Amino acid sequence: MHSTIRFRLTLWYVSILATILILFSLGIYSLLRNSLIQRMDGGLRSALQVASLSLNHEVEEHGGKVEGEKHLIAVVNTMHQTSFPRPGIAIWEGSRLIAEKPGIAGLSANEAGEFSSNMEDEIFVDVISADKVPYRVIASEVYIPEIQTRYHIVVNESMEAMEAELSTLREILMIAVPVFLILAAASGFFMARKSVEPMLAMAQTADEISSYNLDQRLQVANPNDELGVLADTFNRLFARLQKSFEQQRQFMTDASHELRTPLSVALTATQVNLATRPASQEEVTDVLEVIQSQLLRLRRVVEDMFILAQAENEAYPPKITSFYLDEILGETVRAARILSEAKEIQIHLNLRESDLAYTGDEGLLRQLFLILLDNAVKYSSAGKQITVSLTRNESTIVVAVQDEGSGIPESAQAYIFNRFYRVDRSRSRGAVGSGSGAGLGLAIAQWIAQAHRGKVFLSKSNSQGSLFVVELSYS
Amino acid sequence: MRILVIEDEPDAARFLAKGLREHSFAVDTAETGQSALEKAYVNSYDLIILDVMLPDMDGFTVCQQLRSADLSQPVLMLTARHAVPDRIEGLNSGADDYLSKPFDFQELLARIKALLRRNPRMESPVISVRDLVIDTHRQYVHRAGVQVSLTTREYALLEYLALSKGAVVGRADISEHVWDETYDPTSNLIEVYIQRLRQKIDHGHRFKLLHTRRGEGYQLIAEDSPRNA
Repeated sequence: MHSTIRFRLTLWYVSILATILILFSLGIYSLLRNSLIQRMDGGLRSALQVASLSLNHEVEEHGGKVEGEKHLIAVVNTMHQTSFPRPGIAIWEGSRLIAEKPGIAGLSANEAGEFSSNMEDEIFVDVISADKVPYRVIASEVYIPEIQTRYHIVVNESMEAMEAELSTLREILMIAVPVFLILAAASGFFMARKSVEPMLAMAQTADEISSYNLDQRLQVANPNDELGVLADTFNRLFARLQKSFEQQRQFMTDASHELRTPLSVALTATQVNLATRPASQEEVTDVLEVIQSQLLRLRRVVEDMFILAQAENEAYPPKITSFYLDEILGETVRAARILSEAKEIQIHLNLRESDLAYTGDEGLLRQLFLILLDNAVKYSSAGKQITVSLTRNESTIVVAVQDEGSGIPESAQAYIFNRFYRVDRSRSRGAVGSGSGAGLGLAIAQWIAQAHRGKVFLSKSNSQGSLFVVELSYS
Repeated sequence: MRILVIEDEPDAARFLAKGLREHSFAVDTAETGQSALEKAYVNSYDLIILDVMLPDMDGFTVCQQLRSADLSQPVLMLTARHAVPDRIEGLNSGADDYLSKPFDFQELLARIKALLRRNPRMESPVISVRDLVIDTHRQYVHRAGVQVSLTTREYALLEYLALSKGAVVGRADISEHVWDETYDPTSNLIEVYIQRLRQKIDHGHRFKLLHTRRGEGYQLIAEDSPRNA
């Protein structure tokens, strides 16, 4: 549960939202607090100013310290009665209290006086009174030159009302933020589950797909969103897997057929013959010949399959040596003539290059040429000619094998390089030793050419004959 | 009993036919689906052995075409492929049995006999006509407790007549089911074989079992009174 994406998504979402909300609350709170204090400070300052002006005015008008102070007391008393200005005011000379106006919520003169002695300029201080009420205090020194007296004016106001206002806001925020976060977490979890749901469905479908139902695909609700892209990616993966599985399955089916058929013929021949008692010498020879031809066919199939398996397994890289390509081709043609002469077919070799040094796998290239020559002989009738030529172009070496056979039907031309493909099944199983193949020869030839950064292709084929071309890269 | 072997491997077809003939079957062979269908439409086979991989069409198609032409003889499919879907497709296309290559020849014979036994005429492996006993399973023939030695063709003829359960069997039917396509209808081979068979099973017995019905054919039946055929 704690490891699921939707849980982690929700957790992230809630943490980020909580941080934002807390910062926002703190901001609002301190903004409000600052503006309240500023307002209070403005009131305090103007009260201080009123007191200071009154002090100056009374001393000036009544000329003299004693008279002035007497009138000041009267003014302060009037202020007290009209409650204007709001804060409490105390005027001192040293430790002697001249006049006092207790504020509506003011500190008593005695309490405020404790700060007057060490306050020279305008100073704001927060004080807690004896009965635990916070006060804002401003004090200032006033010097009147005419009477050469230094007074201290102390102004204060209770912060209780402001604190109450702030604490209401605090309480609202303390309740609102958690409630908001809980709602956000719930809806976040719901949304996360909503967005993960298609992924779970995809996982379930993917889970059900195995080698038997690789044709199944994931549902793509919206091909343009992220999940659609993911599903599409998976589907393309499945398509590739399906193709490769089908090729493998087809290979297994074909290979099974090619291996079982000769076994079956040999087994039937043997069992039928053994059941016939007594068998004549001719019958025994006949059976042995059949068994031999089937065994040779089996050997050929096994060898070809081994080469193809090797081609697919990169653990067996070609053995690279240097040699003369024209020499290899010449030797292969001589080997093929042994087969062709028995069928009265002539092979002409047309070498336009001599001492053509080449680097590659000699054994594989011999096999490539032999496969093409073997096919040419197999599909030619007596008296026909086969022409083999070797030419060098700028970057390629071209070996062409031209026969005068009956050609490959157009419908078959696209498939001749496929494994186990045979143009004509009955014709390809010719005499023993003439390479009665399993339809793997051209597939092997193609692999050999590709291993030499080249290719084999059917250049042209009609009723006059076929032209196979090998192109090998050369540098 | 006459069997059509459809198999494109010439050696396989040759030895299958040889083995089956040694067990008293008349055998024709075909290498392609087309020639097999032509033979099956013309001749009446008692069983068809069909290879799945043929050069011109696959065995499933051949089987379907046989069935759609109302030919209902048992079909035994042979295949070198060994996949369950193949087996299912084979049976779905109307084949009665399925054997994968390489197979044991004795198993093939056993399956052929099992398929032929589905025919109501051949439910019992032993046929008795009075004191003549024919064991179709082991191909033994006894008359009055004494074993009668027959060639495979003679046995095939006798078995075919016995399976008709006393009905008169025409010459055409005999040539269709006992001989293969090499039979020459203008020859008197059937008369020769009937003569030899009569010599072996009826000679020296009071009750004759093999009768000639002029203009109709032949009949293997136990009649109430002895008579000279």
